[in-house]
Amino acid sequence: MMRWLDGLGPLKWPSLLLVAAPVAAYPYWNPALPPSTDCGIVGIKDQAFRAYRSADGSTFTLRPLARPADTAPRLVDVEPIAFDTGGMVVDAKQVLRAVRCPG
Amino acid sequence: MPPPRAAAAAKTVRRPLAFLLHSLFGLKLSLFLGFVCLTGTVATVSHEIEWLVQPEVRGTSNGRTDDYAAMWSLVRERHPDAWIQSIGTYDRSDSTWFARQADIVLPDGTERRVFIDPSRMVVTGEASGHSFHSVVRGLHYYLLLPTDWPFYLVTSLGFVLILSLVTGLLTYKKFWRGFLRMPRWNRSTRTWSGDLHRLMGLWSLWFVAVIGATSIWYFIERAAPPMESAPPEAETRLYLPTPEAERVARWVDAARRRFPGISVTFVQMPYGETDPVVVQGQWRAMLVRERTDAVFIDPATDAIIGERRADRMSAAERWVHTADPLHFGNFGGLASKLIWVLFGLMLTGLCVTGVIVFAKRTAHAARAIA
Repeated sequence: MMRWLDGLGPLKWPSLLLVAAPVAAYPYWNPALPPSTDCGIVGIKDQAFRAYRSADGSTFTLRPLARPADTAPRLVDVEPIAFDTGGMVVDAKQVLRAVRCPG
Repeated sequence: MPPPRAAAAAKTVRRPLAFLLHSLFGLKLSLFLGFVCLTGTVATVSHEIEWLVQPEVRGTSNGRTDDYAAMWSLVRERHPDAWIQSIGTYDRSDSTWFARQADIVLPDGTERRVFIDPSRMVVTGEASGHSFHSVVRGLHYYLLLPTDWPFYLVTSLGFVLILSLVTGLLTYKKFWRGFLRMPRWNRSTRTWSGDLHRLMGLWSLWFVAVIGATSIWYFIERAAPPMESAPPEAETRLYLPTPEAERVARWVDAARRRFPGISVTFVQMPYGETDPVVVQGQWRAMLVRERTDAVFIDPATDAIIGERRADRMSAAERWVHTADPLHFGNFGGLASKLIWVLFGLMLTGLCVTGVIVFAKRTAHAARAIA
């Protein structure tokens, strides 16, 4: 075994590193991302959305409600910056006043 | 005049250039190459390994008759607030004994996989996190590392494979006589491992050529501008609620009208703001990805805004869709996958026996010099 590894010459350590790299990179490819926080319901025109704050707090994802809201949503005026799995991503500043985030 | 023993030792190290190159690339990269070959071999049957250990991925399905709208409805009932990103086979369309998989995103952003048996129309289970299949595949072709360079490193091994193939043939005198030459098991390790290396190398020539060429292709494909036609753009929208099952039924019907008899493998919702809905499958084309034939639908208007057909592709684009089945061996169901596994193991075995030959030869040379 050692003779073989020595036989790899200058490629010995790069090879070992490459083979071991996936284990070392585990936190990268399997990050423990916290779920986004549910901060309540907002309204845009006549459509109600549930607002989810991202883990870093910089954006909100507004997802259309599947069922009618129990309470009247607070209206907001937003400029979406992206589309994300059915919802629209907006800058946090645009909805912070209308929502109440736990914690 | 050198003593006879020293002369013999000197003779053992004088080799043709082809042999030196074969040893150099095969040996110096044996650890990395063996690792990539082994992970690729396991990846070939990773779905089947999941099937063996995970009861929830077992089911009975037939892409030509699967009721996607009913499956959609089932997932919506179970997770009414979730976004359904897709329902499909995930490269398992060649096998009728797999459940279908729905990828969903819960409102808080967490992702889950929901497995559905289309024949009984029941949810067989759920999972989250990385699947065994995705980890093994990721390990094989980008080492689960960020950026593009691990992908280039892995695919550049295609050049090593082709070079090893050519130099191996140049080194092996009258190689065509060796196809039926059995290893001399009763001789020394050096002898039988060398014999086995040559025998496996000969029988796996075609496989090394296929895997080497497709790996080089992947390298070029990543470096070159896209050769695949871009899907059409749908109307821009700000958000998109998960559609009702009736709309999904209309989309699938539209695809089945456009491609009569298509085996639908996937219904995919948009990822980006202007992405269309994609209903894709396999239709009358040999050796193409299971997602090659497709219709693109604008989710805002439900209108078909484009299609992709294997029979109308340019040769270059058709090759883009052919490289995967050739590399993965999944074009002929379990039978072709098992053939790919057998030869994948032989390819891994070539790395191992090559190393044994090297180790024994260097030990022999060291003894001769001593």
